[in-house]
Order: sequence, then structure tokens, then C-alpha cells
Amino acid sequence: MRRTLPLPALLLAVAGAVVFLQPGMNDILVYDRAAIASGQLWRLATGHLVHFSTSHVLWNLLVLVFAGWALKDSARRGYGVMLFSASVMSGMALFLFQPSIVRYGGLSGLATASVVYLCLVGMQWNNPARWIWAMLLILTAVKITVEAAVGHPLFADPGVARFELVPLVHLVGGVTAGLFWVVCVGMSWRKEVIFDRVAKSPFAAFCSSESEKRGFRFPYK
Amino acid sequence: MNRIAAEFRKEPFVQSIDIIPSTYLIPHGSFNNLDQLQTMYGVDVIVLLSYDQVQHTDEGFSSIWYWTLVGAYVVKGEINSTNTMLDAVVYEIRSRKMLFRAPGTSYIEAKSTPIDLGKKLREDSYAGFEAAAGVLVVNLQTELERFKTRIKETPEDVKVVETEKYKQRKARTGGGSIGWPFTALVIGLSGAAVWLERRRRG
Repeated sequence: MRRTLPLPALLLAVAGAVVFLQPGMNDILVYDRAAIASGQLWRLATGHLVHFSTSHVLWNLLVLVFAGWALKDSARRGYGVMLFSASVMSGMALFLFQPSIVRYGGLSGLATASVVYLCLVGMQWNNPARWIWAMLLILTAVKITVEAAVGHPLFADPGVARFELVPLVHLVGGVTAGLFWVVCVGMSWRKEVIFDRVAKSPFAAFCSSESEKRGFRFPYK
Repeated sequence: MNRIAAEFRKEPFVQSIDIIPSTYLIPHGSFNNLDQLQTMYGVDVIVLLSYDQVQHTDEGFSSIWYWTLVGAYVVKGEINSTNTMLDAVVYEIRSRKMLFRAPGTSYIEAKSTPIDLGKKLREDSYAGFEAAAGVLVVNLQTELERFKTRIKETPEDVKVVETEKYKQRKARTGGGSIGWPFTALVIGLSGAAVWLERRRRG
């Protein structure tokens, strides 16, 4: 099981670090409700790259990078699509359900999505580690649920940046990752079922017997 | 009072909350007294908080053991009941209008020995105020929401003016943050899982 840092997580981490070190970029990337309403829709996704304090950027990037690294190379198909979906979905959720938030920044929604996806993928494999992934998933789900219920994030401290913590993005990130995983599993299951049915069909048996008679090997067994 | 104030400080239409001791209130002072407070503290709206608490003690059947003397120390034959009521009335001082009001009540029943009766009554008294304050906060928030609906439905009665400070407070900046405890949890558990998977593969 080879593990390298996946490209989408690496790109996001580098972009987040660059934007934090070049504060001039904040103005064109930050989630700004008025600007989005006037047509600057990219801010729904790019707002996540903006951070307001060192601790804010540090913990978000650390979780994102570590969750990306822990994801098996074989399970990374569509990981970038999942991150992009989570960023757009959480941006849209903010716009629709939290109109009082006029500016927003932070990768924590995508970091939460990565952790949820990592746990779900880890639980698919039959080995003792699946219980650890299950435990991490349950703790993350409890954290997201409690945050949504009480209306403010657990553990996080905005520090001196004086911004309001928004648990909605964690909820949307986690749900998007869960849905994405369900779709992936559903697709692979469907693929297996279709292949299985084709392999067991009379047509496949006929093709197999005919090809063996003529000295060919049927490509699927 | 601090607990109730803390609940309402986060509202964007609340600039600040000052707790004014009752020594500044004169009996039968009416709105003239409130006008003086407005001048002194610069408040627009005042919440008048009043309270009442009644405690009763009755002897239960088990108090018969008090005749043994030892029973007075160990048998909880005193039945105490504590009724507490807090009442908050919100006035806009300039217009002399009551905006809304909300009560907070609690009832506590407990048993004690006659020896620690005084201590137990004091504890019940504090617990009664705590419980009533909790109910009052919930009722105040409900009444506040009703008041907001009412002023939307009858704009001719109340004129709402949004000040610059209110607009600034209302315009909030949000951030998604993870925090170090969750980071440590993710790194610790993921690291352990990856290590287990690798060890299993040999």
C-alpha cells in the first residue's frame, strides 16, 4: 500500500500557504457575499484558500495534508473531484443558509471532508485498522453533530483574528464526502454486478464454448 | 444577572449591557427614576428584574425517629420545598413603552435532617435561582422572537432604525477552523491505522 501526498491536497495546501503569505490576494479570492451576488462566483470555491491567522492556516493545512497522505494511492480516484464538490457545496450552503456571514475564509470544511472520506475508504478494507478508522469517523461525526447543534465549533479558537467560527461548513464538507463515497461504492458495485451477470449469461457461455472450439480464449473469466 | 446579560450580549442589536444595582432604583420612582438612569448610563432600553422566593419545611412521617435523638442526625424527615420566581420586564425608556416581559420559575423539593436543615435550605435557595434563571433566559429569547415578529407585522407602531454601529456588528466575518485537539486526534488515529495496515502487510 504505497502512500504519497495526492496532487489535489498538495495543490490546495500550497495555494493556501501562498495566499496566506501574500495577503494582497485575499481581496480577489475571499468569500464576499456582495461580490458573489454581483456575479463573482469563483469566490464560492476560492474563499476556502483564505485564512485570517497563523493558527487558522496551520491546523487546517496540517489536517488536510495528513488526511491526504493517509489515503491509499489506490483510493484516490476522484479525490480531487470530491474536494472541489465539497468546496463549492459549502460555499453555496454559506450563501444560502448563513446570510449574516458577509466574509468567509478557511480550509476546515475541506479538511473535514478529507477526514470523513479517508475513514470511509479505510473501513472498506478487511484488516484490524478498520476499527480505528470507524472510531475516527464516529468521533468526527459526533464533533460535526454537536457543532451543528450548539452552533459553534468544538476545540477551535479563533484567537486574535476575531472572526466567527462557522460549523455549517464542517457539516456540509462531511456530508459531501459521505455522499461522494456512497456514489463511488455504488458505481463500483454496479460495475461488479454487471460484469458478474454478463459472465454468467448464456451468451457468455456460448461465446466461451465457441471461442474454445476455435482455439481462442474468452477475455473475461 | 451576569448569565442573562451574557446570553443577550451576542445579539447584533445590543451594543452593550450594563448591570445597574437596585440601590439606584427608588421605591415608586417610576419613569422619572428611569430617566435619571438613562442620563447616568446612556441606556435606551432597561430590563427590570424582580424576584421572589418562598421556602416551606414540613415534617414527614419518618420524623418519628427524631425521638431516638440519633434519628435527628441521620433520618431525613424534613421535607423542604422552594418556590422561586424571576420576572423580567423590558421597557424602552424614551417612549415609556413596555416591549415585552418574561417570567422564570422553579420548584425544588428536597429532604433533610433537622440538623442540616439551614444548610440544605440555603443550597435549595441557590439551586432555585439557578434553575429559574435558566427558564427565564429561554422565555426571554422566546418573547424576543415574538417581539421581532410583532414589529415586522405592525411597522406603524414601531419604527426600526439601523445605526451604522449595528450594520457593522451585523456584517460578520466567518472562518472555518479545526483547532489543535482535532488535528492531534486525526494525526494520532490515522497514524495508528496506517502503522497497523503496514505491519499487517509485513
